[in-house]
Amino acid sequence: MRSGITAKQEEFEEIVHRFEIPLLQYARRITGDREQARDVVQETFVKFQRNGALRREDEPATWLFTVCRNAALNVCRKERRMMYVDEEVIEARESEQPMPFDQLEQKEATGFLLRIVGTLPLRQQEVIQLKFQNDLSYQQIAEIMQTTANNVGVLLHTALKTLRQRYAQVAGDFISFKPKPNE
Amino acid sequence: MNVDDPKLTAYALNELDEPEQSAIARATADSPEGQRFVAETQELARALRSQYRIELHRGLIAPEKLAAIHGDAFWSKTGPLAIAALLAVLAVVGAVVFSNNESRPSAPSESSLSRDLAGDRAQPNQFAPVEAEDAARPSQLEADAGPYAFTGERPFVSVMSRPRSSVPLVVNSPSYLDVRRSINAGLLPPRDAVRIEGMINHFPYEYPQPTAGESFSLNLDVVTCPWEPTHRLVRIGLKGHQEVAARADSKIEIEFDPRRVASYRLIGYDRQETEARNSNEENVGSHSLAAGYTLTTLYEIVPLKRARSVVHTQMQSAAGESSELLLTAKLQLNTRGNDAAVGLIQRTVSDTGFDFAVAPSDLKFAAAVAEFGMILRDSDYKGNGSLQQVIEWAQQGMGADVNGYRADFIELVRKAQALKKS
Repeated sequence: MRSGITAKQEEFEEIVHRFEIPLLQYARRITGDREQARDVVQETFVKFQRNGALRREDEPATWLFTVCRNAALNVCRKERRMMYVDEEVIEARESEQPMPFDQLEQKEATGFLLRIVGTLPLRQQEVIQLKFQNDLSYQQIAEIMQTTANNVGVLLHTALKTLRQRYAQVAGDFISFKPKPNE
Repeated sequence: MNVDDPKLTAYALNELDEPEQSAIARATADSPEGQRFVAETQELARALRSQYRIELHRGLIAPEKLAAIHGDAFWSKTGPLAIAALLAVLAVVGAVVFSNNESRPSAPSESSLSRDLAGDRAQPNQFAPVEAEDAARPSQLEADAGPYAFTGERPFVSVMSRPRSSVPLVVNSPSYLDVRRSINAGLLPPRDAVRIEGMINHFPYEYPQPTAGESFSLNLDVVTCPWEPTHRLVRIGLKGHQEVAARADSKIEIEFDPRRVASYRLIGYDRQETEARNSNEENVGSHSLAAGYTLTTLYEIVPLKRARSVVHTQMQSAAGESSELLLTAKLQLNTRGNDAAVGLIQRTVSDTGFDFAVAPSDLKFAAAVAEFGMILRDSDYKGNGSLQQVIEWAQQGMGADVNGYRADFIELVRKAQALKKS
């Protein structure tokens, strides 16, 4: 029989295994920096373990993404040596418009949809990742992003619409999910 | 029915509560357009979920992750998102540094930041002057990273996010003699007592005299990194020939070419916790660089095997043509009463593939000292080297050893070897 401590440790490792890469990607998108993302995620897991978050009965995803997001935003604020509220940090980064869609190369099917996601504004990317990579509900996403479920719905709707249009633009080159041609 | 309605998307993703769910179900029953929208949304959702799963699976079978995420593997894992994020970070970092260079007294307003961002975006090919990996100014971030993250070691830094690095002209750490004293007393030194840049620069090295009209010679060499043969080792050697009073913010700035270099690591200059806490206020005063002054700095480089396509295109247009240059080093000497940095000397180097075996003996010796320091610190980056190899490299790099310092070093490594075994 496993001891309680071992079981708890295993549970923690399982959570790290499951969330490490999603959190790294998430933090990376906010900070724009791989090293900083790594620090942010480490900090998140340390806090998770220290705060006994394992004892929480609900799904740890909301907690992890919320803490990770705040830590990442803190890094951004520090880097800029000025105070921002969350929205401003995100919007400042959003105004950079990650990558023009027409600059996408290598239109191979595998992962291409995710490449198109990479061309969306940052907040839309954030919602898409939380929804489809991590299967969170509108309500959970709203909690993490400190907004309303309604707003999450609008962001996601807009993101999917753009994604569908952009996909259709290049769908002739390859086929993976079955697009209906736009009229 | 209006298909451009977030409610319909929410319905397709099963996010609505009753009675809305039923209401929309009834409405779409009469609308072929609505039904198609719902089907397409669900199809797209399935495709996204499956692509995220594939991507995660690829990431998870790779053995690295947090422990060794400095490697290039993270790139392939995060793929397009990473490229997008990195193109973006160039703009952000550029804007931040831009505001610093302008010495604005207080934080710029949001609108001026937006302008900076917009301005930078207009010139995406220009790498911003970034000092984030600046040895002259220990970053404050580490102080808040928590004990878990803090090792003080400089990690590999992505050239895409931080193309420039700099080193101060004066090494302040007295480390080698402390290390020597400790080992001679029969104790391996504590980690924080081992300051690699101080150890390397304890020894005299021969660099060419500055040419007529220049007060410094700046020398660059690239060879195979002996403790990690897939990496390259760059040595930067600076020699002055007359006394100069340099302000403490003088530095050598190195800019890596992102077409050739994936990431780099400045060897030594590891931060101590006390240092990390009281940062930035140290750049006052001057140092007198005596006649015959030399500075030796090593960088470990992860070379790029294949150019990243998007970036490649951009850089080519920036430089006009493809280049073989690995890096550019620039001596920036600031003297009292001279606020503008004087770009005294600039040198570039290409990687012609020299093996460590044919490296100059001074370089071999400096590499041996660096690896000795990394082993003593039990560094994450010590690679495949052993104390035995340190001795071999130092022997190959003995040179004339007029003062007998190098022979003494080899003796010291032997003693450390004996201490490690016991």
